[in-house]
Amino acid sequence: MRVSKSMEWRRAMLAGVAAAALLFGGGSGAGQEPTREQTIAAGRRVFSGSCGMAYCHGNDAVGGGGPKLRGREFSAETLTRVINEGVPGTGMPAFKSNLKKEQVAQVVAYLLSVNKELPGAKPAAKVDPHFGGGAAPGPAEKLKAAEATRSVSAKPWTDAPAVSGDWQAGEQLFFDAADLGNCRVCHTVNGRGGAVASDLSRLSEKPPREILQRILAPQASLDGKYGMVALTLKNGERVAGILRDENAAGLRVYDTATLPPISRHYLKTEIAETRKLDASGCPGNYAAKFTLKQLLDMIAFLKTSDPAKPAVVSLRDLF
Amino acid sequence: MMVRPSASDLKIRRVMRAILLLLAGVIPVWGQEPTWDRLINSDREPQNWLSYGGNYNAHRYSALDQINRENVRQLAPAWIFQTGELRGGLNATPIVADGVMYLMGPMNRIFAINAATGEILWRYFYKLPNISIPYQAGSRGLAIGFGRVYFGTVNNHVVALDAKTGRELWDVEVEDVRQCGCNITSAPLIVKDKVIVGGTGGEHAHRGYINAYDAKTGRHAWRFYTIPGPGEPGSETWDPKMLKYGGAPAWLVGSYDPELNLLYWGIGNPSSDFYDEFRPGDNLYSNSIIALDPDTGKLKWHYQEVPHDMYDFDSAYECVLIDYEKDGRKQKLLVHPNKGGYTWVLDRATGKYVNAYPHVDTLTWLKGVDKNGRPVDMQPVPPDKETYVCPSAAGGRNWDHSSYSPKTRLWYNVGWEMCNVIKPQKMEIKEGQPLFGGSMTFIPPKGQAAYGHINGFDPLTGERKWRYLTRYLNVASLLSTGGDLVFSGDVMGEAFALDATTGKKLWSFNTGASVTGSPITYSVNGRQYVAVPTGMGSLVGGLATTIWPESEKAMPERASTLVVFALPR
Repeated sequence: MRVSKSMEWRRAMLAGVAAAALLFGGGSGAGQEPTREQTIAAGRRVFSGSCGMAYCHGNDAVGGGGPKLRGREFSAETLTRVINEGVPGTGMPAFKSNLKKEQVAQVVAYLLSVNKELPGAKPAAKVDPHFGGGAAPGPAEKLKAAEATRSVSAKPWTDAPAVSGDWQAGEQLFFDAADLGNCRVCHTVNGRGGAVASDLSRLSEKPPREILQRILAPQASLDGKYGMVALTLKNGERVAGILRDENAAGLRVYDTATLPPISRHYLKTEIAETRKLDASGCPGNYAAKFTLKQLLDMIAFLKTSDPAKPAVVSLRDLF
Repeated sequence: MMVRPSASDLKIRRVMRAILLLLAGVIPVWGQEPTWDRLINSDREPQNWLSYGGNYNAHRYSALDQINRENVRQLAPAWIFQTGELRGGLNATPIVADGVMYLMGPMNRIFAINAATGEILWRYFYKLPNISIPYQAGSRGLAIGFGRVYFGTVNNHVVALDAKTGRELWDVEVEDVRQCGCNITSAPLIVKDKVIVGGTGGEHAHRGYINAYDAKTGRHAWRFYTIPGPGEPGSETWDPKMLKYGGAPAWLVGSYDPELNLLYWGIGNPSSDFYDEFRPGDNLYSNSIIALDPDTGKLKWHYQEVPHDMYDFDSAYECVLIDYEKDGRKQKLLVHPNKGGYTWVLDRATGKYVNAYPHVDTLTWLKGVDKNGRPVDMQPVPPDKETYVCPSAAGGRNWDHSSYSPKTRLWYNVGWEMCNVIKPQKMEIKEGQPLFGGSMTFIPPKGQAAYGHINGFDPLTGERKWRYLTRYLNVASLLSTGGDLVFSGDVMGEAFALDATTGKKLWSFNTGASVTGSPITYSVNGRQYVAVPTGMGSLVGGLATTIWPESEKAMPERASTLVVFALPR
């Protein structure tokens, strides 16, 4: 059980890494037919931008304001039709004028590839997403388990080139002021950054592999303090966001559908329905956004609590 | 004889225009009053003061003439309003629409006030985190439109409120103030469906920018960096290392020409202010006027006034758009007072140089300008040495704005005759940390006393029609009116009115607090009011006591008070 879960997770990770490798390696050569993996990765990117917002199908298609698409059986034909034509009477728009034919095919390929549940996705709160089953182990147990997992999976990587993260490059990436959609717009590390989502300063205590998982599949490590709600307003508008605060008169949510996040205030009298979402407000597109080297840099940064003792994180620490 | 259109004609016309604009997809359909159509045509309703500059040309002029040269002596307080927050005085330009005044006090306190009585309709105090605030706690103002109030905060957020109730609708952070050392101390500018905001940061290691947000949703629409990115045109005017830290903030408010669809913004100094060996080259677009497409944020043209600034001579001040007519020739001009005491005049369609003239008497940093308006023989300011430069880094005037009267066709501008000794010093560069690069000491011009003045200029030629000598340096904006008056106030607390054609002082009133903000005028139910913000809030307001030590004993205490005047009933 433990091994199979871990294998499944690794498969999900590899898909992410394949997407990252696309950028890392500069993509496929010109004129070549894209491989299935490349098509899926491209579909995932389109999905993240168009459909993966929390008030639609959610990161990694786990569901949000709209239905969950992960872990379901669809035919390519049905998916293509629904994406192109939409579903009248629901929130599902027709995408045929917004997406190219090729992009629709990519999204379909991606959705067909996610017919398995994310490891530990449900119920997220109780199950340790890392190893599955039972109560979440303490940090020491987790580390021990990580070691054990690594001993199983390490072999294929022993020959991998010794690529390691540069924490300063990671810090620059995290705080790059020119990127309006990077981590610092929501997260704080060591007193700098946004207050929209969790403070990541203590992430340095976690194993690199878990940090990678949290970056690539934020869905799998929901933090109750930054839970999402879906609001249906009396005027028919629908909004989803991270609940910021609430009082008798109204509430505020951080809308992360576009970045930078926007705090929105609603009066209770304006709201027809409030629903808690089992989803993360974190965009799930980092496997596509960052190269593998950049992810390593970022993890090295998050692992470095003392600049005098920079953490060394290499590729083999991730798998 | 001109036939006045009837009210119903006007209504039909307005509806037709609204339909046409809707078809063009220009104005938001969700909006309430005031609409974009009203904002951009604010000269049609002089009873209101709808935007920061009074109109989108930054004229700070109102056609109201109930208060005029003949009766201004009777002007007396009608009501007085206290913001209750003394940290930051009162810098703001009040905004008035349909009998309601929207006022931003310091620390982002916002009030809706009955503009005839001073009664509070609602208040909203922005919840600021416990952080140190860069630059100033006071704010220069807010914007209204579409039934909303928009403002930037001193911790670098942009916020929209419901104008009827003061309820917060949305709030978006521009950048963590702790990371950039920058914030928003000026009013946003609404252009069509967007809220456009600049920010501070010229004294920090920061890369300046202008941001546009969708006025309805708060979604980020575009960002224009005032320093090009690596490889972009203009980046060759910098040391590559400084592209991320060169300052050039857009810390005041732009202007907009709807015919040309061009947004004009003045850009501030490069960082560090004095020490310049970090940044060989012209350092674009610092100390420049830029013209942007407001729909996309794309640069249309730029004109740099002070290449490679070493004196803190920002070009951040207002871009005054003047349609100049003489001898049957019409020119679409942009008149721009630079902090260095020189005024540049550009063709605002093309950005081509037209003229430049000094608006102060004492200048050492340049010998003049060449045929393209580029300063000639700029004075070197070597590191670790003391150099005497005029005007001072506080400027040939400070930010408080000029005014243009289309009635007198004069441009009214303040001048300061004051110098400084600059000593540039190298500093460590760290993102978001101060990067001033030296020190300055304010001194009077050699061989004479410091003095200040208010002038009436021909805006194209710079020919001076009159000068009024001020007691100290004037740090309040000017307001001109159809009553042929120019209103302002001084740091000793006196609000005053000058004759707009001669500069003669016609009226004054001791408000009891330094006037360092921007007066406006408006009318409600046929009664004209003049609102004068008072309370020391200017960073350079305290200069008077440095130059004139004897002024200290009479300097008013801190305040944050709006004094509103009207003629007795």
